[in-house]
Amino acid sequence: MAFSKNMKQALKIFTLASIFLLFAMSYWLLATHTHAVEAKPIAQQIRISPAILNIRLAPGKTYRYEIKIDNLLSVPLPVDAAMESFMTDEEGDYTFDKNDQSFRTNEIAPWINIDENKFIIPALSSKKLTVTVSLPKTIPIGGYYGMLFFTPRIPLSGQYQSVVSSKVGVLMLASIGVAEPFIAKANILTFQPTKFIFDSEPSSFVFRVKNNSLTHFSAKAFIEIGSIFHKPNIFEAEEKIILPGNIRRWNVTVPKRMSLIPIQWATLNVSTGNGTSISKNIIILHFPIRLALISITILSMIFFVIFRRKNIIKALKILIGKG
Amino acid sequence: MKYISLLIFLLFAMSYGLSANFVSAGPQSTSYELKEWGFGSGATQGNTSPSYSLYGVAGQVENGKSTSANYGLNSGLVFSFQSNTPPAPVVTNPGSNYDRLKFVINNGSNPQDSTFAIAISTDDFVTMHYVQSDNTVGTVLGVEDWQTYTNWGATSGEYITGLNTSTAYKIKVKALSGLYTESPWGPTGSASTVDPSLTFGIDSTALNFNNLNSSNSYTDSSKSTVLTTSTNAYNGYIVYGRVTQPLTFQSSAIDNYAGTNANPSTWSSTGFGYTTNDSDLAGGTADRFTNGGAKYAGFSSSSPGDPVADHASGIITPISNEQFTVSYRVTASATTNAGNYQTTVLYIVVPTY
Repeated sequence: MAFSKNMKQALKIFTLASIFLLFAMSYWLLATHTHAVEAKPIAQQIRISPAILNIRLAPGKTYRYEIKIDNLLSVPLPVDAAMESFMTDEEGDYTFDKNDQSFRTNEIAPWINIDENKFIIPALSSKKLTVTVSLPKTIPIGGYYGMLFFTPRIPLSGQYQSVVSSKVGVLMLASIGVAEPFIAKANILTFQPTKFIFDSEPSSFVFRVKNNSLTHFSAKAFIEIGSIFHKPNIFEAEEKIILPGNIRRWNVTVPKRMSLIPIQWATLNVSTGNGTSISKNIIILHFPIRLALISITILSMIFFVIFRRKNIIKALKILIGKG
Repeated sequence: MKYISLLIFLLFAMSYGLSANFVSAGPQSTSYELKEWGFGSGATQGNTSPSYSLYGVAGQVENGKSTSANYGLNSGLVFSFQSNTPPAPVVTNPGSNYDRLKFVINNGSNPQDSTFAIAISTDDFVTMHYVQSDNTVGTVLGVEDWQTYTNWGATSGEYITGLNTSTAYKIKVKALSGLYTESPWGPTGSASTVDPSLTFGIDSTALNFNNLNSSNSYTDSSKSTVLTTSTNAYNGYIVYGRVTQPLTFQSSAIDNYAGTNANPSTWSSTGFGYTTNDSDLAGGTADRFTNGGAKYAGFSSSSPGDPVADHASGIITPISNEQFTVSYRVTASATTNAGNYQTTVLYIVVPTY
């Protein structure tokens, strides 16, 4: 009898445990399922490689480059390819305008031939496109630029839909007839701290560099900060390519340092190729103005309390009418 | 007696001559004597002038060098003065970069103040270039390009920049611990750069706004596009957004919202606009679209449009499937002509440089 009672209890516990496990499993499955559903499916996706074509060319020669386009979707993807010229500003932002004649100056587009301008990439497959650059024998040496765009074509949408489309660019940077090793002619237009006096760290600087060469170069900038009291610290800024005749601007924040020496010097060095660099020095001032003002106020109050306490007591008496 | 004295004198003279010859056999110290030595044809032990003295070194073995693929055994005074030849540097491309490689040199148990020079080549050192003090590649090895182990990044290493894409590079190191102590080049380490790539996707190619009527205040702000980007480009990427025209139905249009990309605003009045969740966006104050709630701008109609998503430069670890959401809002006026308004929103992604 007791055995049967124990059996019943064990069965009850087993049933309860099973129900709990089932709940736990279903919760886990549901939770996982919900998470999976949250990720939005991608309707259009391509990968291009190389995305930047930084090339050195010689007049009168023909060059061939292969660009690989991957269709990452499980459906075939029709793609259009076309060259466009561009201009840039100090921030490196592009402007594309087919009607603006000033874009014609350094464009590589006239020398480029793409073997297929319209093609279909099968699902989850790749397409290798050959870009041929045929240069005339006489061409001014220098830098020539362009963007090769790949635009996935969108299937015809419903009658009332607006359409969202995309295009992906391959940046082409070509130096034609430029001898190696190349040392760019550049100059630092401005190098200045963002504040006249730095109240607290970190310090930040703005500098602009102009490329006076006929072709582009990659400017690698370093800021060296030192004083007569400590060894200089060197901070590396991001590298930027400067197109010929163009100016690029940097806004650099130097990480927090321990030293708050009032007068320090800062040197900007910008690499111009083959181990050469250009530089500019400035003096920077560090002074904790806020801290100084608070300290002066507190000291003045202490001074007043100590040396003018009779006047304060007299004034207080007058205020409360006992004077 | 005279003859005996002469004989004794001759014996003394001969013994003196013999001992004199014996002393001049080679350099000697109290304990040692170099019995056989020489400087070869045309060379002399020492050359002196009123200002200078030139002495040969005895004991230097020429052509005594023994080498294998991994080791070099040498002898002599000059060799013992040389710095230890640094072992092969570790060269890698951890971030699948296209224009830079990471290197960690081995100081080869040289003293702390030893300096090291690094050579780099794409053709197994048929043509040799040198890593410059700013970590770019140059044709000349200058004095400033000899740097200490610490300056070359010690155990963390540093990156050589400005390399060609999809190219195999070999690098080797030599050491210097004072004058006349330059070691031979050590064994090589190698790695390859890859091609820069850019992947871009959008989550939907259709944009269907709700029916705008008085019950929803002629407004729909529930639609969005997710932009997904991957790249290993050092300077990152930028996505521009634009429309081919305002939302248009026949001759009627819902104008683009008045806020601009450089100065977006909290939504007011009517129009078709967008906001982005990129809180570090180029083209103005970085968080202008997100600070203090969603701010809206109207789309531009000119190419390439305005920045709606980006990733700034300095990318060492490739960006993988980075997502930003552009959310749309359309609010029509109550007097807008009824109809099906359409446009095309175009997103252009380009590598920054």
